[in-house]
Amino acid sequence: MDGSQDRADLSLYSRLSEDIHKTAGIEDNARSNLGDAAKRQQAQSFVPKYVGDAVVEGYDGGSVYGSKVKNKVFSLDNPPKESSAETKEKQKKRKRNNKSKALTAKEKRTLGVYDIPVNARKYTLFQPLHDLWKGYIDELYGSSSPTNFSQKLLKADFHGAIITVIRSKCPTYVGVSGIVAQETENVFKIITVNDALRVVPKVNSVFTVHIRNSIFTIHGNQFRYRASMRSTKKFKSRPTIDL
Amino acid sequence: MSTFFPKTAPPRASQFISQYSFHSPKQLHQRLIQNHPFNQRVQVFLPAALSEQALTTLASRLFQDAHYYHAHVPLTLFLTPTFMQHIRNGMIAISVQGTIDSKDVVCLDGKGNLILSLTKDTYEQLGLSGTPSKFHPDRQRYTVKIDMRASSMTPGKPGFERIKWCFENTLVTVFPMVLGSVDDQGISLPLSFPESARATRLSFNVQSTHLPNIIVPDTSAIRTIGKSELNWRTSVMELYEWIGMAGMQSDRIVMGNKIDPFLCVYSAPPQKTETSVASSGWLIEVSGLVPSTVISKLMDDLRSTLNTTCSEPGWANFTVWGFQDSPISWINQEHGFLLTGENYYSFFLWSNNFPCQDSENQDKGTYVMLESVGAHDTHS
Repeated sequence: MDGSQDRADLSLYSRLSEDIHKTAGIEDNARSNLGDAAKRQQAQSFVPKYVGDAVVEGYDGGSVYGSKVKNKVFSLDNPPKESSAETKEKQKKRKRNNKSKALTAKEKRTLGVYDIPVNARKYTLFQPLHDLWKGYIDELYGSSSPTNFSQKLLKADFHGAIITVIRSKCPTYVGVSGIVAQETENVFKIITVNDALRVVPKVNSVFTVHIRNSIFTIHGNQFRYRASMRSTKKFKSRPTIDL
Repeated sequence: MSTFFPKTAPPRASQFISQYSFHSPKQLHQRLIQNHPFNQRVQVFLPAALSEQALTTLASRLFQDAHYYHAHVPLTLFLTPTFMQHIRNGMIAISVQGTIDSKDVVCLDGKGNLILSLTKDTYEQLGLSGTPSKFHPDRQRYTVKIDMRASSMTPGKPGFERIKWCFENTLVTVFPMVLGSVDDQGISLPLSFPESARATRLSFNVQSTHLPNIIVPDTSAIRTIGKSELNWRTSVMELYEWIGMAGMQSDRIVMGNKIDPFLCVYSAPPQKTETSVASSGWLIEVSGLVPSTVISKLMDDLRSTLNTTCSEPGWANFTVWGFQDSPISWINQEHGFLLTGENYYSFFLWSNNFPCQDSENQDKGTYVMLESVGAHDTHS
């Protein structure tokens, strides 16, 4: 009420009409220069009276005031919503906060997270990995037949396997052999016996893996998935295996 | 109903005719002979005048001790020090199982190049880089060329070791081949093969045939080109047709042959005289792997024989056929089979005392040369 003067331009706070003044018994003292305490007192004396008047018959005005109004805060206005731009910014901030925990692909690339350092490109360093892989593939092989196993092999992990390129459209890849240090969607990174890192694309190449006295041939063209994606992938038989 | 119209023009075989002289500084005939490494048949036709004795001396002089080898050779053999030396000395070799358009063919061209003409499958498994064949635009065939005379072809160098690894691991096919090596004088050099190669020593098959009672045409007309080149070409082609008839000892050129025109309309090229006169000729054929040095010697011998033993003017025809399934026809000229795979050359040569019709050009060493290649050949 006390703000009605300041916010006269807001229609929401227009002056009460004259008859309401009369019925409510309000003295028009808005313009009088009363102190705060006096104003509060006035309001406090007004509200119970107004509630008592407004209550429908059958209810006790005093008890309604005591249970519903007294010492309660009512907002006379809907609080203005935060603007959508603001919220977006907030969301963005939140996202960025989440992302800041992991690097983006671009950041990884620039930092060279997955690069194998030159001094780590040693065949002997990767031999334990190969032994580990042998144990893993032996477990996977179990007692299944080679045909059944080839289905399992499609979904197996190749990190640590010794693979050999037996056929390629690019002749220089032919004969490259070594332990797989990393497999990505499109390439195998191989550590050769000469302690060199060779990056061999899967496309247009055919590889072999030697497992338990049998040689398995992998057609790189049909093998172009990430190791994690491949494990859940359903492979289809292709009509041609020509490069 | 549909009709088949091929999008591209049909491949064409080509023939090149040229008239030249032995006395020219360019020595075109020598270049032609020396650059045609793989020769499987040589045919010499001589009209009557020569005595039989002269002929036998001509043939036997060159081929009495000449030989070549047939062996089953793995490619690693060429990397052994002895064979590297043979290759440096100009050994020629070609695999003879045939079908260049659908199988792997290897050859040594005598200039130290090992040429592998490979199918796509073999090439992808081999591991040596090459170039796609010119005649198979869909990249179904590749040619790998290795210069065995290069300084990098020394044991221990990475290039050599890579080639060796490839021949030991990826291309282990054993090729049936014919191999021959001659020195500068055309004398065959002995080659020694390991037991596993099942090598056999072969000698040239020399055959001389007497053709009696045939109509021998007049060849003086083609010595000079004259005013109309087209006429000259036509008469050269007629003469070559006749030589072909003689080569297969056809009845159509025998004197007094009466054939129903419904069956054959062939008529021999004109003779000097109005009425046809019967004479005789000799046909000498040599087959085997004839090195180009030998051919060149044979050519020189034939020329001297023509000039010394003939009292009256004489002429000769000298034709050499290459292997149909060789990866190259002439040096550095890729070759394929397609329909015939022919690659041959032929000379018409005359004795020095042969009368010149052209008063301006009194060159005694004139010859007419024909080169013929099939559609799949880059020689031109």
